[in-house]
Amino acid sequence: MILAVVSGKGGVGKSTVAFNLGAAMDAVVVDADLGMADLPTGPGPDLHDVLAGRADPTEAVREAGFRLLPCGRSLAGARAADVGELGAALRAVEAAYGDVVVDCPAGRRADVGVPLAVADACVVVTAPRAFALADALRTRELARELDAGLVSVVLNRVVDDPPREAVERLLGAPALVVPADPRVGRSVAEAEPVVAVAPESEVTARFEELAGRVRSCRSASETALGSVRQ
Amino acid sequence: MRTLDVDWTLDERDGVSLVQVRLENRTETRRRVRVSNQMDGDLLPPRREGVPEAGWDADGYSGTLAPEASLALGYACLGDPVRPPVEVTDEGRADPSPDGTDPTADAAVRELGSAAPPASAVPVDAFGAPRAGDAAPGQSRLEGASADTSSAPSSRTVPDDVDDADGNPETVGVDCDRDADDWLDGVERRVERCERLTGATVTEAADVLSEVGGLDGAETLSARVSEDATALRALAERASRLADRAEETDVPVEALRRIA
Repeated sequence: MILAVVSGKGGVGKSTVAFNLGAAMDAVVVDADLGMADLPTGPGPDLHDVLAGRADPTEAVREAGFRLLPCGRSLAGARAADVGELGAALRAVEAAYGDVVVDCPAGRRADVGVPLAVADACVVVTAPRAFALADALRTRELARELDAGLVSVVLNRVVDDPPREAVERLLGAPALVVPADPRVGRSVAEAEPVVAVAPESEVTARFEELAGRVRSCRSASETALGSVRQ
Repeated sequence: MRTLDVDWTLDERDGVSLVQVRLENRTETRRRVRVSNQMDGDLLPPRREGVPEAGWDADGYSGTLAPEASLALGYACLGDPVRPPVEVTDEGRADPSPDGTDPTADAAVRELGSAAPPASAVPVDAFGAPRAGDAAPGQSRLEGASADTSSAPSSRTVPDDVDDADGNPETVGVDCDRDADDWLDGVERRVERCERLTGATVTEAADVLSEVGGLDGAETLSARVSEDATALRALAERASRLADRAEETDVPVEALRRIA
């Protein structure tokens, strides 16, 4: 399945959630933030090359303990990338590897809309703050228009007791609380998922729980599709 | 009984044929319609955010028309006008529900707009090539990856300190001059083609289009020339600043000789 990780507001920890959820699901994480990518990168073809027609989607996937399709950093690359090709690229990766987790950019332009249009489901990441919740709500509306079902809301980097029930009422989906933990931020900087470096931690348990929710949603949608086909 | 009323207008402007079609469904059922362009030459469908509107293809439009409703369409064609410009076919009764509203990647781009940075935001080097990007310092790199065998074409770069390249400033200078000449010749060729396309007649435009590889080629050409213009302005400014500085220098050769 293709799962889009979206937030609306930037800086709420969308990329760290996508990276660690992808590792917990053993999925390919695609860094689709074409203009401001921040997941690890390295030599070789990246998503800019794929969307400019210079590389196959599958040859750009790296396997280094976790699976990642990185994104280039240059403005020229972002400009040359055709976001209209992103849907086909994500489907090609899904066909070759199975589950795909897409780290979407902030905002609500086409670079968020295309992954949502292609995705089977989405996860909305937000901070437990009013300004972030307003954008999460707008993004949820966009996901609804584009038929990406909301699996779960992630209340990220929570320190105090969060307004969990209010958020669930507002966004109409179960919320999952990920406590603030500096190891989660470091996991992206050091290219080591927290599920691998701190398997006993509270945050690992939360990412495993989120992965479980996504899987249960996947099997539900596959059952529904199967019954339609019969 | 006729099921569809068709009305059209045709204007020709600067070698481009502009067509407006109005269809009216006279029946009480939803109809499937096909509007086929009858003119030779590339069809330019209406676009939003660079993506053709739903229903358009290279030869025309397919869609449905609600009971007793009307539909207005417009397009352009890079070909000589032919009357009538379109052939409208009623392809029978359609499903009573409106067109499928399946979200597609194309629809998302059309509705939301591309977030690509504008051309003016892309840094270019003195020779007009976009600079190859690399990870910013401090960003994590994947370990264990192979040596750089990127299939991305490396953009042309000019060494900052050419004298260090092989220790022979004269030769390098000549190479650089030749590079600059080649680049300027290339720009001149591109600008000439654009000039020929600006306000061209159909035949002239067709000639240039076949040279540059059709409409896609023309789009690339136009983008390239706008980048050329930015690079040329940047180069002109830098050149005039350098000329000012060059004129202000005064190397005391005689004094240096005495010290030596």
